[in-house]
Amino acid sequence: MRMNKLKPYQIRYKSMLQTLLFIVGGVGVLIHALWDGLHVYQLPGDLVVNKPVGHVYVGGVVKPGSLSHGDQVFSLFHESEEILVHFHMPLPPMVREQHAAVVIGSWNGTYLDASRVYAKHDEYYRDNKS
Amino acid sequence: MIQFLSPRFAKAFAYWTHSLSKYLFAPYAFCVLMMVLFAPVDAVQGSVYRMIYIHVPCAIISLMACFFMGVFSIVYWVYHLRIAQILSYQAARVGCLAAWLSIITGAFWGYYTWGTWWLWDMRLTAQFILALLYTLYLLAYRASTLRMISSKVVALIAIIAMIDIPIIHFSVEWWQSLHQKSTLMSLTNHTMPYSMYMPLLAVIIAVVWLNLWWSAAYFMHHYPIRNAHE
Repeated sequence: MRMNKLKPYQIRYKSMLQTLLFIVGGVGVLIHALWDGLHVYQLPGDLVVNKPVGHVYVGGVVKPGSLSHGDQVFSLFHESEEILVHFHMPLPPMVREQHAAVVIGSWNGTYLDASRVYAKHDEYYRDNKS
Repeated sequence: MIQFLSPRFAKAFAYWTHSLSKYLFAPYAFCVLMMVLFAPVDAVQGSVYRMIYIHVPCAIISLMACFFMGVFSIVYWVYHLRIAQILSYQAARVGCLAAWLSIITGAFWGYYTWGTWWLWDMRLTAQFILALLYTLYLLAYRASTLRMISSKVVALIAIIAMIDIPIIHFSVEWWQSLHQKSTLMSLTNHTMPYSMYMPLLAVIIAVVWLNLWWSAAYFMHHYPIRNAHE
């Protein structure tokens, strides 16, 4: 009986709210379920603990003094955990010591055999002259 | 809001926006261009960072347009106002262009800084989904004008796209990603010197203005004609 008293736009308003709630709920549940898989890279600490097989994405900071273009090797660290990375191609120019990098490669227990290395820059911008 | 959607107010707003922009936009755009060209070079990225002056305005516009597209679609759904449908469609056109441009400019920027055009990073993926939803909206709108599908379906696509806004915005905070965190939202941390920040603000205002002008021109051109058939 109460339904009959609602004006047409109120009925449409109700249907809109129901649809909106359904979509927000659905997407929310989906995002919640997928949450852990949506990180694009792992941290060096996760790698040591989980011992993943196959291709992995690892992100961290290139350790100062460890980058050697001749030996094609550098160390990637995050907080106290550190891993060794071997690469076989020229690195992007922005992969430098004390700058963040994301490495794609396979983990063999002792070092990461990198197939791709990407530089990760932060949200800070600085004037070149200062 | 409802006052803005009255045809009289909207027509007056569109008329004044169009008339003033005709004379004021070009000198303002010239000043902005000079500000961008004389902005200092970044210490880490070099001159490539200037891509921020195209990429960030496009990304902001794509999210703002999505918000307006969604709100106008909800208004259309509830009140069946033709004016809301037209404004929603124009917001989708603005947003579609901005979303694809933000992806393309971001790809170039990423190539010269990260070392890759594309990665299935959550920020990039969510923005890609937004661009696809915009394109889907425009195609569905075309289909609805041919009476192939209901205009409710078109509004529904806009509402689904609106859910993507918080996901895009918070993706770099919630998940580890290659894309850097927001510079503009954390200016209190001195993420950017004023000499770089002021041009960025000026470009964002210019791009918002340009799109407002485009929307006003579209509205003036289409609203009276289409309204006559309703």
